Amino acid sequence: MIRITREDFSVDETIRKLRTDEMGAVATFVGVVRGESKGRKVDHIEVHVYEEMAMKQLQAIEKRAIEKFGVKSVTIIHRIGSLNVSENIMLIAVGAGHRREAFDACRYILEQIKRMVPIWKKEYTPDGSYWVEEKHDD
Amino acid sequence: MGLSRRLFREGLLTGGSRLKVRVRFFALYEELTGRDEEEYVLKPGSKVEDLIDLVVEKHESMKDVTGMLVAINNSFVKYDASLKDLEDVALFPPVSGG
Repeated sequence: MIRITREDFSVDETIRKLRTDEMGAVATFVGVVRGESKGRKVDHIEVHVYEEMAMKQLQAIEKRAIEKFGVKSVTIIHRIGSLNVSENIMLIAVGAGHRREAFDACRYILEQIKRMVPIWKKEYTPDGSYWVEEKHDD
Repeated sequence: MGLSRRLFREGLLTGGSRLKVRVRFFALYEELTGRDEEEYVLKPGSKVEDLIDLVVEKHESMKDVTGMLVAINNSFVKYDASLKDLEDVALFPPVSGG
């Protein structure tokens, strides 16, 4: 399930909907707004999206993860709009038969999103606003 | 407006003598250009890199951008991809979601 939304999400609710009897593991990743960036205090961020393409890319990533790792189910929720420090930005939840493929698929999905999905973050600090330039270990 | 006139205006009945694309700008590029979209007319056979040259020519603020990503009809393309008439071309900086 893929969703791009301005609303917050519940991790518990998402796992409850995702899980089935055939799963032995659910791996989740939650990205949150960090209150500091390159030594600057962050007040809030704005998340911008090219929604039509982002949906298409996220659906392709979901499909590839299921094929590549044999996991049972994938949920990706990405928020857009203005978000305060500590708020949720993104949730990846992967249900699988075993922990290994659950973790591997979750990490794969995250790395793919950071390279392939047209979403951008802009940080607002006391010194001004800055577009985030992603390093792949952030 | 009649169909033939509309098609002519859209460049379909001009015997392939021109190529018109809609360019969409996102994130930093939307700020640098001050536009979310523009139309560009190019010579037939033009490639993405020709379009980027035109965009930078028009918007000097874009001349120092690096790592520009290009998508046509929601799929990534390389700079040497050929453009087709009436295509939607999106130009945007490296992504930073997640």
